[in-house]
Amino acid sequence: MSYKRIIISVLLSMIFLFPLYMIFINSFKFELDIINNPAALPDIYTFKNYLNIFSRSDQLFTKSLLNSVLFTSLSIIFVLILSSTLAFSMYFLSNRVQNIIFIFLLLGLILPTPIILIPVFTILKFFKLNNTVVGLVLFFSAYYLPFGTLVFKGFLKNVPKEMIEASFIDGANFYICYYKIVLPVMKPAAASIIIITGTWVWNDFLNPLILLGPLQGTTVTVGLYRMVGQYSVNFGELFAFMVLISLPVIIAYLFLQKYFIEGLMAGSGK
Amino acid sequence: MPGLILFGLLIMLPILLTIVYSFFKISFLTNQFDYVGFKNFLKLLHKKDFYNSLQIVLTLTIIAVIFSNLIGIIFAKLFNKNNKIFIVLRVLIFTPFILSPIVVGYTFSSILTDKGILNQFLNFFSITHDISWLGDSKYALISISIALCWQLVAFCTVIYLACLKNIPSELEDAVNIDGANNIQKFRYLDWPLLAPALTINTVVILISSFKLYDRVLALTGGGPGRSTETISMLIIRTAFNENRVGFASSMSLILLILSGITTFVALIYLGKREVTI
Repeated sequence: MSYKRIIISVLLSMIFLFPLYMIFINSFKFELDIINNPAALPDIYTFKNYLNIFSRSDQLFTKSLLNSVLFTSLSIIFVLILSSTLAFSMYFLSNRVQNIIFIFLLLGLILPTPIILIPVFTILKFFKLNNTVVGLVLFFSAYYLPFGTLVFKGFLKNVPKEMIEASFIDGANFYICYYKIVLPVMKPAAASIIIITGTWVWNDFLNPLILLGPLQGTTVTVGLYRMVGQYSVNFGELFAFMVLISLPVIIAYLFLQKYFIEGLMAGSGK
Repeated sequence: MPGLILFGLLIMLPILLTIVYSFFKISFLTNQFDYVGFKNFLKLLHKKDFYNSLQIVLTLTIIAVIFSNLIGIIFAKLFNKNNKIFIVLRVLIFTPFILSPIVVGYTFSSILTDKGILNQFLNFFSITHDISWLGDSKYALISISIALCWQLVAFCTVIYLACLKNIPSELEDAVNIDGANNIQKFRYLDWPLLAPALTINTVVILISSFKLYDRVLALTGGGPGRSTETISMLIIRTAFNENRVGFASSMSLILLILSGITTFVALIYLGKREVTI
């Protein structure tokens, strides 16, 4: 074991992860302390920044949090159901049709959303779903369907064809086979999709900003943006806000990190 | 397959509508919807902001592809040891990628601001004095690249690590017996075997760079002037602030073609490398 390698690695990681340390440590400081000694540990620890965020008169944080929890969980459920059934249905299609669907999904996967935001906005408006959580959830479900489907397809390869065929010979229909055989095997895939799409939806900023209406709706990211826009920035509260909205994702990642990386590899077709 | 219907309605139809809209003059306020042929594209030819944004996005993309991959490989090679310390580092190194880009934007804006920690540090060691990292157009693009690469390096490192894990140790032993030096080992063993990771990383970097919006908004707001305004920002501003929906759609269409071609070329070209090994 070479110690030089360990020292270099730890040092580089510390520099690389310094911004994380900085947000965290400064969220417990008083304003003057942040400006004068941004890198140092606090002289006096304070929870004032956190308390201020929770007790805001406009309830920006609590509203944002509730909204984000609501539409992130709804989006995850939709993506799980829609992409697992699509992946399983594709199993029964001819290779030709599978490939056509695959190309369309790939197009969706690499599509930068700003390109389609204008028409998505008009379509949702046509169905009177603009500025609603339902509209946003439907859009997220559609947008992350390709990723979910590719991950499920990747894991489906591990299910022996004979197993599925045998179940049909035994008289199972599509739904029974899906429920009894496919779902249990795809649990790891589901875990990957929950953590990855969950993170993406939670973190997204531009889509909710436009689709929930630039003035009304709010999510944790949009809330952060609003907070900065409203008053002159109070750094302590800004950092506390950022810590609070990042914490759920970081905790979920630490617990499910194996699935996070497996899912990313599976989703990219490996 | 309800999934496909939803996908068709909210992803595929919008792509078609973007193409249609780009031949119309549209306003959300007055419900105007007039066919104007290729007028939007002709106007685009003379639109300085558009060239400016194109140039910014292409510059950022090239910087991100090179540096994120390079640093990612270095980190991955460094951390690819089964020691407790390295296992912890491997988990921690990914955290920047799971943060919201807008959080990353505000984090770096507080580091790079005029009286921020970077300037305090540089002043203290008298390396430079009071560079306006966000307010000076010479440096603003560098600042954005740093915030962009920070997240992408995290992603690249983890993908390269996952790929390195699959290299059989017999191969490494064989190369060692043949007496290859470190550079040869990297050139003839790691580099070709990391090809799949390079493909994934490059494609993810391309997609993130083309849709770049949140980080820039939080860091510079597109300024100073329009010196850091990305295409996505220009599109959103034109459509929703200036209410020139058709014109914005014509930009979207160009961005769609550009990002589509670039990503597919990268996929095919880098994908071929994987097969030939």
